[in-house]
Amino acid sequence: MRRPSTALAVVVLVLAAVAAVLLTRPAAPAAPPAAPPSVGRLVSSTALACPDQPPGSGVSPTVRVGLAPGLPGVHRSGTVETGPVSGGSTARALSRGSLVTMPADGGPEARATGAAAAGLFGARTERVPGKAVAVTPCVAARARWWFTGAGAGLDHSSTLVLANLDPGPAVVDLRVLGPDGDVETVATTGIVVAPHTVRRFALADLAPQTDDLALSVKAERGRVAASVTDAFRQRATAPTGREWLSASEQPSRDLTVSGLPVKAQRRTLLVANPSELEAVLDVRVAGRSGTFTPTGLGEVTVGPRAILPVDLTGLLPTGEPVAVRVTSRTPVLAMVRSVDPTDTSDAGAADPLTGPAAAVLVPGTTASVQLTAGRSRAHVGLTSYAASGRRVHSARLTISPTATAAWSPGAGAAYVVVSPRGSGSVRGAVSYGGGGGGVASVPLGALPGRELRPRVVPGLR
Amino acid sequence: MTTLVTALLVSHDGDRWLAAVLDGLAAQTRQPDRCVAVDTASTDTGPLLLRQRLGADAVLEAPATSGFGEAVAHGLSGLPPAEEHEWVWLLHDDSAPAPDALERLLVVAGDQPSVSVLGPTLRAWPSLRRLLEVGVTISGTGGRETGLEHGEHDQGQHDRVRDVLAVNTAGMLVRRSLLESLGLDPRLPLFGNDIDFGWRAARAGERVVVVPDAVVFHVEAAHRGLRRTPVTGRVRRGERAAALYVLLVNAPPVTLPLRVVRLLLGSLLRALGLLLVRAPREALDELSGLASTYLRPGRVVAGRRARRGTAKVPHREVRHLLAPAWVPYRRGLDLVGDAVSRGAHQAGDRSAARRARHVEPAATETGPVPAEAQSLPDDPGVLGRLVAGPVAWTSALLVLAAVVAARDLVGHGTLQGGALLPAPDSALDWWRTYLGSEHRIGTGSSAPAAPYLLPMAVAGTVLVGRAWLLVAVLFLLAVPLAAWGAHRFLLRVTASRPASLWGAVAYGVLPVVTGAVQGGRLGTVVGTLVLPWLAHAALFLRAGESADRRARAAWRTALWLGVLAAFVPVAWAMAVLVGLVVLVAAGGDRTVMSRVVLTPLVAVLVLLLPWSLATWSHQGPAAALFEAGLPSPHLARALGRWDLVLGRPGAGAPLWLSTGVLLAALAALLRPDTRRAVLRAWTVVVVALATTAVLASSTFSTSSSTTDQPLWMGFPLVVAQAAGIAAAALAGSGIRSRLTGASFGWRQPVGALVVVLAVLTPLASVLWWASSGSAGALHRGSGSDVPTYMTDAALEAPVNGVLVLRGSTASGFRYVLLRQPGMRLGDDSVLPSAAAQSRLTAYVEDLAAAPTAAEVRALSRLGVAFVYAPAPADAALAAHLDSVSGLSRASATGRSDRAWQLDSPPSDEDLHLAADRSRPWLLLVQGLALGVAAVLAAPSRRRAA
Repeated sequence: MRRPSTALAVVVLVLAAVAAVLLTRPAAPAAPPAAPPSVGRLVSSTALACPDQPPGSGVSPTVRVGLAPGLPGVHRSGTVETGPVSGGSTARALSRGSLVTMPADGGPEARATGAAAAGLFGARTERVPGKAVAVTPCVAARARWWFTGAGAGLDHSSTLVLANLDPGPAVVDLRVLGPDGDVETVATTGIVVAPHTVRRFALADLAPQTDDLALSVKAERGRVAASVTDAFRQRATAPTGREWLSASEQPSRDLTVSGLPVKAQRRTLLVANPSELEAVLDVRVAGRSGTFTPTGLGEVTVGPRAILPVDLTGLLPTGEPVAVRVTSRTPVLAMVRSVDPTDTSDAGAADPLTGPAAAVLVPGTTASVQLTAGRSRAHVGLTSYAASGRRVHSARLTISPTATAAWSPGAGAAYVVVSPRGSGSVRGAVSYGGGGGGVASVPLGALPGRELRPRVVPGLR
Repeated sequence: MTTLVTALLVSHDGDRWLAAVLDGLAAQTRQPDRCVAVDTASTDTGPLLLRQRLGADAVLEAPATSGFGEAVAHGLSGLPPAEEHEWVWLLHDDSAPAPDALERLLVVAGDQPSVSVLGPTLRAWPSLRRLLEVGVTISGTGGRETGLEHGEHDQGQHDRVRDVLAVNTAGMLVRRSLLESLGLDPRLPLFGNDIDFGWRAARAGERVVVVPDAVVFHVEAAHRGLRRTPVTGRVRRGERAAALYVLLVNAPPVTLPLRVVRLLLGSLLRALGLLLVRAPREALDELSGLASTYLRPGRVVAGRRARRGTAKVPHREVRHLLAPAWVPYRRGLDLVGDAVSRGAHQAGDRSAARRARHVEPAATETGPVPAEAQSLPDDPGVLGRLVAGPVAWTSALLVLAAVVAARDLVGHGTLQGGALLPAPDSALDWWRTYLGSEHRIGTGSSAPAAPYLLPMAVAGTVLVGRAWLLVAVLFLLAVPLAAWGAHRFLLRVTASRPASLWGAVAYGVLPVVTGAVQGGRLGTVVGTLVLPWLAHAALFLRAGESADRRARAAWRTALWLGVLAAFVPVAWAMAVLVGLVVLVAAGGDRTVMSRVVLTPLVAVLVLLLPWSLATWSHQGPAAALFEAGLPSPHLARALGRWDLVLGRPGAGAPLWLSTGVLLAALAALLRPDTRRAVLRAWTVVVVALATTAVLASSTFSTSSSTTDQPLWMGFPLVVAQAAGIAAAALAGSGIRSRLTGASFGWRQPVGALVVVLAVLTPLASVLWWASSGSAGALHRGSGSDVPTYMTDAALEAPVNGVLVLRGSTASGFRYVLLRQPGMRLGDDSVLPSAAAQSRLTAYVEDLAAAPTAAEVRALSRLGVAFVYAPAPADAALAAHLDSVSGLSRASATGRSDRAWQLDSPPSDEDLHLAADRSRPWLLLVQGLALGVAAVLAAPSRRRAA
């Protein structure tokens, strides 16, 4: 038998090799093991701290807590324990949808387990009729807090309130940024907050003679509920405006400051840059029909570890709800201080709503829910309720990409629930305006609903 | 005083030698006074010859089943009553006395009246000068000791009459009275009766001497198997059984129990040793000899009882006649020394053969080694060759480059990174993991350890347990080691030393050029080192080799393939493909080829037990596709077409560095005279690329590493490159004369260009490697970032586990439950599956989301004493863990990491600790298979004629 030619074998083998190369369809490298947390079961325990003013501040506050209705899968009522952080709380049955008043002294906390844990919300409101309004939500404890726009000068003073709701001690480090960088402070690391106690720190004691500050609260051990009450007057003869500063968990490269009052004498954007790099900001305004760059505002640069005030007076449209969007390659913090003749409003950066949010309304003021869409169109359901849980008013809003829309809850409403629908991102705040004076703003944050369960996998090393 | 001598000749089928024996008897200068012969039913002409020479009356008949002692007794019974000074001279039908033998014996008997037994010097029958025995004794293990060197010639060196334990019955002169009173033990029909008789005579207070001047030439027909009688049976078995019997019946009662045990163990050990040198029949004889003695204790008891009546002097007085206690051990050492020298001799032969081949570069086929090559006149010697040869310089250059390239990998700590986990403290840890059927790792596992741990453990043990040293040698000296193996292989397949050297360097740099070293890919690195040796062994499977050599090569191939597949299991599948191609192409040799090709392929599955059988149910079927080392999804990258063609599975050298090899491999196909061999190499290229094409197209996961990931295709691409290099080296043999010898045309410039590019490729690769270094993901560092006090507690009691949590709430967490200071090389293969850890996973999710005291208590029941979050610890996680009761903050090592200790004492009540009961048996099967394969792969004891 004739043996096949080797030349033929050469051709066959080379073609086979080429075919093997051409037919290879390499699989893509594995996706990184990182994955966002998944939504898990309903939360089974919620504890909120509602800060109080230092004794003798002369403010008569109201603290109200409620169980928000309208959360998916959450219908049951339950028992909520209210009372001072230090103990001696009172259990009270709360029906779903109702809003009740609780004692405002002793750094009050509201604690719910079981069915009442989901949808628990509350706020402390302070009002001096015709002069000032201040609102701050009751907050859950966590490890990281940032406050922008605090002060420790003659016309601007702030007080940090730390509450430890847990059975173990919390150890906290404070960091203060001023216009010229990190402010040298003494005894601000290793601050121990004993279990079930409240501690207050006047910033004047930490960084005297500095009007604009950013404050970091970092729990090295345990967690705390932190709030900052702020008193500001534009000049020595001007009335003092009171406000609770909005908190952020961490700096971000994309911030939306929402809840600005539609009118103000002066507006100041305060941007803090805690990083070691200079931050070059892109400041835009999200108005009714979309985002635009305000004319007259040049390039804004914030030095490392510094806070910078940027005067926005006259640069924002008046008579319409707007939000200020700040983007930067370096993570920053931002807030907008609006000053009217009798009060100031400190609007902070709002986080995207990951679920329904609720905000307590202040009787005697007009409130406006201001919502800003992300890059895509957003759909939102809004419902206002009376304190009894009766539905007062509701609406569905569709917001154009990057635009800001406003909605009024209507008279007689005690609180409002904002529910994002669909996939569009939306952030927002409630802006309060007193009939005779006083402004305030509270960013909307998601209600405690379902646990966010981080993705956990066994590792190899 | 009259001395009467009766010669007593015992005969059985010995007519071949009988005439010479009778001649010797007749030629005695002192004739025996009587001659008697006893024939034990011979079937040859022996009886006739005896009657003719001695007279019919002098020849007695005995049954064929008579032993030597019975024949002697029969002969004595036919004699008149014994006289006072009567001697009996025992002769065999294969022992011819020298003419003066009897005279010299009688002279000594006359001079030394106290002597009762005398023996001559026994010399080999054919050679006449070679000494067989000058007296004989027995060692403690039953060895028949003559005190002579093997093949020692009689040059008068043993000229002194001396007392001995015994003399051979061939030529033994013994007082008739003693012979009749003691007798030869009928339980020793053929073998060992001389030693036994001498020993009993000594115990009876009689002297036994050897008379060196008296010479008897002995065939040792029974011992050599030249004569078969109904009582010989299997010679070795009979000799061994007799030796054991003699020792047991004559030993002092005090030492008897110890001797029984010693002989039993010694015999088993000898049988094992005989098996190891591929002598199964001898091993069987050893065992059956042992059994025939030990299973009939009544014989020993009766023998001892019989000796009690004749013993007159204590044991201690005859002890000096026995072989010294160290004799068996010296014999053992001699055996080992012989084996080593034989091996060295073979290696020397092979080396000489190799040199001989390269003296004549045109000779491409292997063949018999010319005699002159065995002793090359101008051989500069080993040292000279090392210093002067290009191989030595190349090796030195590669080692130097390895030292330079390792500059970032020296210092404190252990090599790790990429797919490489740090080596354990000792090779014992590898043994423990490999042999253990239950692993206290994580929540407990009974997974079979990866098979590569066995060769790692063996090699680590050779390095005095230094596991880190083994890993360092493998990674830092990968290039010179790979080049060494490739050079050995290429020298065998090509006739050209330059081509072999080029191919060796081109192959040697593959571990670094492919990025395997830098990525910590243990499997590919070791696979690259082993591949040339596997190919070298497989070369001898080809037709044309002797059957014995092919059979041994099959087992050697099985062992090398086993080592390779232990590190790179995919190699087995590739070997199957290559084997199929070989079988298809085998043609008429297919039957034999099937055997020699299938043997290694099937044997590997047994050699890799228990992993090959059990990993399917533990780590899942895809585990057979992952090579040694940590599955590292983050190191994988999508392969491009040129990555495939030029062999870049990972971040290695620039692609252009390999173009020379590619061009040379393609150009190799153009040379007609080497094309057949080149096509074989190209077949391997196609198999490797086809394997890559199939495996690279999918993602895989194991039950403990559940992230789907593409496979690291390092080894298949190394095989493709290696085959390309081999093709180029085959065609590059004699390329210069080929190019210069032909008439000028386009081939010369193109060929020269390809040669230049090919030569530059390994040089450039070495330069690139030396300049860029071996470091990458591979680095040297400390094994663990977990606080020492935690790992110390875990080492002290494994129940004090450390739960290490990495990651963040936003991106997810990875956890590992440590019961030692970090994961070590090999631990990854026995990790519990993700499913087996699902409970722990759920608890960790709860810890990271909303922990309660219940989860903390559950953790303590899983053997968790500490929770540790390395820097940067997730703030939310830390806050959660700080807020839950049952956990207390513990000391961490830095500002950004966090540590907690569980308040309740840990326990293992919820741990899954169930040993796999079949594991020891599978390991036993593997051990036996390895032993059998090693024995069958070893060089034959008898050289092929």
